[in-house]
Amino acid sequence: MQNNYFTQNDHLREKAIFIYIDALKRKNTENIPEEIRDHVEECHQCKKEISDLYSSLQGVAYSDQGPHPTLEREVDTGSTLSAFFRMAAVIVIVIGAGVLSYILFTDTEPVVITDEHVEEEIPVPEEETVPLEPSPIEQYASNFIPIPLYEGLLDPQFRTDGLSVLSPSIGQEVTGEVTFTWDIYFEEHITLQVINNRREIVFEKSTIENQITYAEPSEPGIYYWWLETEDEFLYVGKFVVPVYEE
Amino acid sequence: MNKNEHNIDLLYNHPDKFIETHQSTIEIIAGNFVRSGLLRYSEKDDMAQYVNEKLIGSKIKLMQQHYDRSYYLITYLSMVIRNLCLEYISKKTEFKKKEVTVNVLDVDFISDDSPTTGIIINEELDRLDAVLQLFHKTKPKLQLCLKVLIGNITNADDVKAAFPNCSNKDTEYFLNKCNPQSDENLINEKEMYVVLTGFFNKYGKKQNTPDALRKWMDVKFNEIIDLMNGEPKQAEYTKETLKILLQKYYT
Repeated sequence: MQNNYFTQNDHLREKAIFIYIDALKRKNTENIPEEIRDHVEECHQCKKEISDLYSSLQGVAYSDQGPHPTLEREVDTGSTLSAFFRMAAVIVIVIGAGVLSYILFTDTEPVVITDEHVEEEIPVPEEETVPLEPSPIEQYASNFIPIPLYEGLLDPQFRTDGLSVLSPSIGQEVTGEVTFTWDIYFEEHITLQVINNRREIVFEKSTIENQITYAEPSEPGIYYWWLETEDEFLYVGKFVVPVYEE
Repeated sequence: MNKNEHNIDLLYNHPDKFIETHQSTIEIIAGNFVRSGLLRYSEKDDMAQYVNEKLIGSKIKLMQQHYDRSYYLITYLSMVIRNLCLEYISKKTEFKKKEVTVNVLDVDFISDDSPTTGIIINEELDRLDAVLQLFHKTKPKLQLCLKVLIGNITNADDVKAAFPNCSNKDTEYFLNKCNPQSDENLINEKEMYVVLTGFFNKYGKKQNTPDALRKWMDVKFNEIIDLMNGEPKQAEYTKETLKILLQKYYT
């Protein structure tokens, strides 16, 4: 397989830089493909790319990452082969032992199972069980566990300049349909996504308007929603659909 | 399942969890920017938020499309985080000019034997080690020259690594010249270049002058300084401070 490690300008592609970084992190530069090592030796620009990225990654843990997909491919093949031979040897030994024991022990008396070995089965009385129906609050309790990652993004100081979200406010309780409105003008489409606290996308729509209506969340719980353009993340909000006990 | 496989599984099947799991990675990389003086400590959390927003927004989808599994996913993620941090620094912060350049090898700094200083110096030694690895086949010769020039004791292994065909007699001569037993036998830098050039010419089949070798070493020294200082600039190494770091590295 041809590994294309170089750009049209004869510098390293990102993947080659990443392989080099992995090798430096693992203190195992000998297995870097020779064409990459030779190029870096002569190219200050690529040296700089690698050393700058390496510096930024100081402190990032690389333990237990497992065999490297490029640097240890040959080692992997070797270990796979030796594992195969080990497995084959075990199978041969097991079959051999089986044949040997058959030859040696087929003339011995068979084990007779007498009545005393058979234990009487004690019948277990069936319990009369009444299914417990949880209350609506218990039923949906898990839907109200917040997701820390999104909670951290709700802070209004991180919103895009000029964007003001009119509804729903953060944490607002809503019943029935939810109308999302905001006040900012973009030439491109804005996408709105709503997720539940299991991180499932329950609603998604794009618009060039400043308003989207979501018919109705299917069940009570916390919902997070956000607005984004193709290149920019604009806003994260949250609303709650409460449980109403009858 | 090893960590790389686990990361891949999270990236494609539970991307939000992938981001959550790597909050510490964002924290570490943002911390590195603070330590390098490119970001105020007070802005670190804002930058982490910015990175999270961008990851959730579109970067994770791009990562899912572009990751080709020929390297560790943690490296790819770290590069994405680093680029977002740089984007944040250039866009949002007014802290354009470095104000807290820490020269880790200042005399005052180096005499401070606090655990923090020790950690920072070890990290600098780790960076230097990575930079030297980039010189690949040149590294043994470069290493020998560096050791000689900073006055570090060289040994037969250094000479053999640089000149694999070097005879035992020549090795002994080199070590006697460059590791003088007494101050009387000390040689100056100019003489060192004469000795080194003799070996480069004999075992590298070259016809160089000591001055050409000195210029080559100047170029290499400046290259190492440039790599250690980084882009954007995160350190202030000079020839003198790099020599101090090299002495620690080879000790």
